[in-house]
Amino acid sequence: MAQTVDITPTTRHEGHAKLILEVDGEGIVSKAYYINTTPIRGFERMVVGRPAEFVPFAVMRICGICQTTHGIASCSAIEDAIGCEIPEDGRLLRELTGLGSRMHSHPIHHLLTLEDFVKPEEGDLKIEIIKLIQSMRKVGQLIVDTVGGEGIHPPNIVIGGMRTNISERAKAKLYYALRQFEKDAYRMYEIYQELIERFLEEVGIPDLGSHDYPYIASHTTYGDREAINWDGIVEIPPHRYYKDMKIAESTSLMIPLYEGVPAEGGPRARLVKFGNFRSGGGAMDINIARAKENLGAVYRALEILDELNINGKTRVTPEYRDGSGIGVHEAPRGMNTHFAEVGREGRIKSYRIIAASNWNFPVVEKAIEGYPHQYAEVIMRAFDM
Amino acid sequence: MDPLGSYKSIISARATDKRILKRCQDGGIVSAVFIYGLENNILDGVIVADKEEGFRPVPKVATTPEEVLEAAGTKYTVSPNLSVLKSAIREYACEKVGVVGTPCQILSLRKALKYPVGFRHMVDKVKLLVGIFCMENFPYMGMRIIVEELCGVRIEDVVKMDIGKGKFWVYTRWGEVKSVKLKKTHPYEQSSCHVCTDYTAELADISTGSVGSPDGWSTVIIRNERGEEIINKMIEEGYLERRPIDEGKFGLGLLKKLALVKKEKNMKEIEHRKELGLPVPPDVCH
Ligand SMILES: Cc1cc2nc3c(=O)[nH]c(=O)nc-3n(C[C@H](O)[C@H](O)[C@H](O)COP(=O)(O)OP(=O)(O)OC[C@H]3O[C@@H](n4cnc5c(N)ncnc54)[C@H](O)[C@@H]3O)c2cc1C
Repeated sequence: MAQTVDITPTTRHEGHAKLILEVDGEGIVSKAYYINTTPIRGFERMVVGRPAEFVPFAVMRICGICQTTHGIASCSAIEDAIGCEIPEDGRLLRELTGLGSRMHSHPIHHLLTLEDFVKPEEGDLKIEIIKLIQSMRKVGQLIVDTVGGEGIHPPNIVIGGMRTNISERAKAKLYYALRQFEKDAYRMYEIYQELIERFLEEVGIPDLGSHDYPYIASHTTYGDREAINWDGIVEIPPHRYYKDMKIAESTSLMIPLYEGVPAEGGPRARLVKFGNFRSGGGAMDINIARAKENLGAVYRALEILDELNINGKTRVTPEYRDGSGIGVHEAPRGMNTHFAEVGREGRIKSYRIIAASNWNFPVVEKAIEGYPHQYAEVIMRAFDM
Repeated sequence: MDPLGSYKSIISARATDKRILKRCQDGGIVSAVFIYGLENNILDGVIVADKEEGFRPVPKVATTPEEVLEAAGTKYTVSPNLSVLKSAIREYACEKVGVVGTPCQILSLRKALKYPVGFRHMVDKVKLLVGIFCMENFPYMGMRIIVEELCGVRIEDVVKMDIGKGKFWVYTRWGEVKSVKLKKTHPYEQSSCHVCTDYTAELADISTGSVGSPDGWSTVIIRNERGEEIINKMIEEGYLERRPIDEGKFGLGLLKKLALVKKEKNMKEIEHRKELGLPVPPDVCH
């Protein structure tokens, strides 16, 4: 007998949402709806008419974890709009701040998914993982603190570059912290690979949570507006995407499509596009990709420390003029895009944001369909919503 | 009313390093303590008031003895030293920070350390608070008027300013000395200083100023163990020379008298403002 299973709210993830599942007689999900219940806050409206400088600081408040990435995407959208080139050292420091954010966000997501894979009797293992997570997160926070100027809502990310450079001492401190992170990240990667392998074996569904949608990613460690065909991106209202009007009315999300279909963003998408990660596998692959990205992040961060000139200029004074621009940053959970139109006296004429998680909402639905309903949340969590 | 707040001991002292004595205001205590701290790994960054063109103070994170020397000497105008505290700990990655400040700045910093809202990861990294005595301060334009109009000296020509013996003194790079009676400078004071009742930076680890000691020497109030440890080591290792404080009328007597004058005078102003329903500072250091 077909039935409906509601999971409301869904737990152990970052946002607010619920799952509505239509389940067939065998317990398999035939139709999944993943409803975003975060209320609309109106940032895109709020910034219209405001001076551009205000916008990065405002939009950082969109998310409690992704402040850095919203700050970066916002600044680069406005810089693109007014034709402002930021100095190389400013760009490096920005990328480093973004990586710091990734390096504390990814581990926190390991914490949220942990319970899906570790067994109640494996107390010691759990403690080991939690200690790793704490130690890794400290490093990520230290980077954002030091380079961004503050761990939460980093104020050094400004239009024109970065407010200031870092000291020799700070650079050395980050180096040693990164070396520790590298060790921890390796261990974490090993653990996650084993845990996921065992989990899939026990479940007996190797491709749990697979889907046919394409991937979307612009860069591995930063963001590159040139890598995306922007004409191929549209956002449609849920009323056009969902046949069920009740569902359409209950979600607070616009649905982004790439070349006409939803697309998966995040660790796996990046590693498939720019590395040699397996494509088309089950959703659990994303958990492994995430653990792997910690390594990429730390290597790139070390490289940035090498490339950085701590006496270099980090900021230019922006000169405002009319124009529109795009800013892209690869947030931990996917591609984060801001579109800014700047008008008279450096004021915002229009503003649009496609935040990273928006992409994955419709993909999560597809990934859940065709699999036993009791795994719906495990699949959703793999996406870091 | 308790004039000086709580303390362990009071001495007269001065730095032994000639480089410090050449640039400092009084006995060079602040610069000597900071240089000692930096050279002996007790501090790895200190916040001082450097200056730009026109004797404009700029708060600075100094990490070398040279930078400390560069910023020695009193600026008789507001230098928002606490504004770079975060930078010291974030972008400079310092873990053992020393801060010099006027009594109001020391008070604010203590408060921030006690209630660290907006001060994440900072409390355990601020290691030493050095307070400087202060009767009043001047807004930048106030100071400039005293120098240029009352003393008739171009601000570019000034190498040092000082307050003592009832006068405001200006020293020029041409070797001239000009002065004006403090009575004439009162109108240019910062009005917020008139509701402050702390003369000797009562919440610092070490407080220092000129009053109470002979010219070229400083009065040093050692307030707690942290302050005591560092001053004792400095004396032992020859960074500072000391002499007993003069307990008489021109020594400790004068210091206590001036501290009480500030408290009593400004308590009156506070009462006056209360009568008018104006805001007054919370009850501290009475
Ligand atoms: C506004 C003001 C009023 C003062 N009033 C008195 C007084 O009434 N009686 C008295 O005995 N002493 C007073 N002093 C203190 C005195 O002038 C000396 O600063 C003090 O004795 C330290 O001298 P030093 O030789 O030990 O320090 P130095 O080695 O010369 O070092 C002084 C340190 O203080 C810092 N500094 C200078 N100006 C400021 C400022 N505006 N804000 C914060 N930090 C600063 C410098 O960067 C330097 O690090 C006052 C100081 C100020 C700033």
